[in-house]
Amino acid sequence: MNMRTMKLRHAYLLLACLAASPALAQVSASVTAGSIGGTAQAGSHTPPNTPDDRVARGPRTDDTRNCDSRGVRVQSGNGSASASASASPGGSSAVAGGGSPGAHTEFFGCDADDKRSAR
Amino acid sequence: MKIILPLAFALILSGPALAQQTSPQGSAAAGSGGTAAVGGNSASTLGAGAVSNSPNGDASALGMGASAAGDNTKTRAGVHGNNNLNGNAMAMAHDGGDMAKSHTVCHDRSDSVDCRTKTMAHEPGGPPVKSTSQGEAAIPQQ
Repeated sequence: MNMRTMKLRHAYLLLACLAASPALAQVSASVTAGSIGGTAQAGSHTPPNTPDDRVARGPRTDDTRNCDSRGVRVQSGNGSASASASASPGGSSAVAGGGSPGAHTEFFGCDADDKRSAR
Repeated sequence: MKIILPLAFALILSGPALAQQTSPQGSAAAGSGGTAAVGGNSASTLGAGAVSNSPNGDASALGMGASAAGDNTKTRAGVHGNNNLNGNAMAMAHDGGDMAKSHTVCHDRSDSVDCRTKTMAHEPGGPPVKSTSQGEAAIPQQ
């Protein structure tokens, strides 16, 4: 084995370690079904919003024909996990979100202001 | 002639789980969703969850959504729990004959995320058209 081959192997090992590092790892999932969509991300370290909610429940059954889209966004206290769901206007829709203690849950769209709850 | 278009459509997108080689830390994200439609009725639900364990602390987040369109509709979504989150989303639409229904359940645990969606579209005189989808991801055990 010559020196050139050894150097290349070390370079690949370094790249593999960097790829497996959780500090850099970020995974996500996106889902779309009909007029609604949702995403979830984990591993990122975006600056979190001010935590105020631990669990929040979305609107139960509401008519969204005459208002904007409805959605919810959840971000954990340390910003390493987030999830969201949103529904397009029309018909009936409901969204809900929750997170680990310290998470920030924010509703937007129809009835956003009076549907926030903390526990 | 009445045109009936039964449709059951489901999507699964799950993210891989990554973990540090020397400690049980890492991240996972997964979700599932589905739509059922028959006649002029449609029902859609989805759920997406994430969990992350890092030196900065453990964290999880879960989002659920439901939407329905038709003559008579009903939607419901909820997330319960603290560290272990459980989410439900249900949507239904019917016009007295045709019926479309979708239901998603998600479990966001400390080391994994699991979402399942079941849809059903039914028209009188015919068999129900059902579909099931699932998205799951877990942080590998060290």
